[in-house]
Amino acid sequence: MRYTLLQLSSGFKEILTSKKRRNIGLVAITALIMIVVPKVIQKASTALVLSTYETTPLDSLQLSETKASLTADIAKQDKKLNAKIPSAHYLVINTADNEFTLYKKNDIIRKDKCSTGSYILLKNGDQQEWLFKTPKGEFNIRGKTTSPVWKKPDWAFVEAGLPVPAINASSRYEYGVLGDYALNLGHGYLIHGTLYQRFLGLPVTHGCIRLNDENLELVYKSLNTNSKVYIF
Amino acid sequence: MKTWNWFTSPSTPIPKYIFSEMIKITFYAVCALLLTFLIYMSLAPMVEIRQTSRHIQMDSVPRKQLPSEVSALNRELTFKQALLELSQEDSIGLIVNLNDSTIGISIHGVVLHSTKTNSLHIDPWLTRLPDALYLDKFSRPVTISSHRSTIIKEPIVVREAPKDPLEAAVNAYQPDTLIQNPAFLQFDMETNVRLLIEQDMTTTWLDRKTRFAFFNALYMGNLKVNLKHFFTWRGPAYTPEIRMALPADDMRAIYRALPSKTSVVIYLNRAST
Repeated sequence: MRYTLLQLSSGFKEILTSKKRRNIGLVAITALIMIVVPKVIQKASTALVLSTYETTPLDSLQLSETKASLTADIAKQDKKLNAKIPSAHYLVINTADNEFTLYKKNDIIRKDKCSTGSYILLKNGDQQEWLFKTPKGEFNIRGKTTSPVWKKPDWAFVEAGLPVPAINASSRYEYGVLGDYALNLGHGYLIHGTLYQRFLGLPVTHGCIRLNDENLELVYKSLNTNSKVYIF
Repeated sequence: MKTWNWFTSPSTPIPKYIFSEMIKITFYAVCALLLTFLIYMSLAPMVEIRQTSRHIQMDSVPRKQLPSEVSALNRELTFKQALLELSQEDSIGLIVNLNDSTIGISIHGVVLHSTKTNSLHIDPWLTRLPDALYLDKFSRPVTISSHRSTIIKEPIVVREAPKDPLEAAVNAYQPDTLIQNPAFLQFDMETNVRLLIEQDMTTTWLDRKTRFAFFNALYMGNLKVNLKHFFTWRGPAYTPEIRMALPADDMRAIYRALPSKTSVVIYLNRAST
């Protein structure tokens, strides 16, 4: 142990006294220059350019007038922005987290789980395909119904491995699967109830928005025709 | 000192001192080149300021110059005006409020989702900007010119239709949460400002690997561009960055909501930085 320490110290002495010392110093100085010089140049050049943008200060009267005018303008803009928020109830759907929030102006009335599109692309050979995705953007409630009946589209039969019946065949109509209420968003998309409440919070639908019975009733009663629904 | 002739003594081995001299010369040359490159890079922020100034001079509508005492109010007003302009657009837009460290999405003036950042780093270049230059960059909604992400925009799962009800029952869809990759985002604005968003929790090996690959690609890309500019006698490229960390779920929700051509409003008030 003692021998190793002695060896180490003699090696260290040799480095300090030898020609290598000069080289180590040189490398250290070069590294320092490389760090410091660019930093100094960067700071100085930026400060120099920015100094040309200094504005002349206003006197106190002009300053207070400018401040008052700007404050008034801000208040005006705030008012305009506030007017953009619907005054009636509106619904916001988060398809990534499968959550909905029912608002009245800026107040949250209810926030809970829902189910949205599964992002499944169903392919029926090379002829047909359907993407089960909830559309995004701003929508209006186009209509409201109680005890809705589901008229099954073609994909419902294709997905179940069944032959697709005629357009008005009785096998297309299913009762009680959409819950007690449905709100129409247009293009075949609905907000409705579900028999599969355990799947709420998961992306399992064919594009519609599913809510549990209690939430569906609240949403149905809160939203009217033309109420806004925002989906993102 | 000994002299060594290449022509007269070809079979004699090259003396050691020549090697050491060559190594020294190479070392000094590399150092000089590196120092020149570093100085060149250090001028990049100034070059970017110059370019922004040139852009202002070319602007057909001259902006009213207000003194720095009312800078905060001026910037707030500009932000509100930009929000109003954003609300005229029909698609979902992104709002980055660096004042209260929030990021959100809105459509027609209604904020759909907003989340607070856990960590925020703003390039000092941006915080030191005088109002004239700030307004040029942030006074209106700007579009994202390019973006890079580790999040899948539409996590589509392809399924073939079953041949009969028996096959349908066997292959019944087992609902699960969507495929969730580690979340890292890069938005490059048309005004040459870069927004980098990373997930706040990097715990797994996959998270760390993805993060390394994401930022490595970014910085290697920057280096490549600047080396190319350096050797072709062009000005250095500089993109000021805003870097923030958000919960991964929020990042996914925001990223998936954004349309292909997204408008962004950024608010940065000097008083708060």
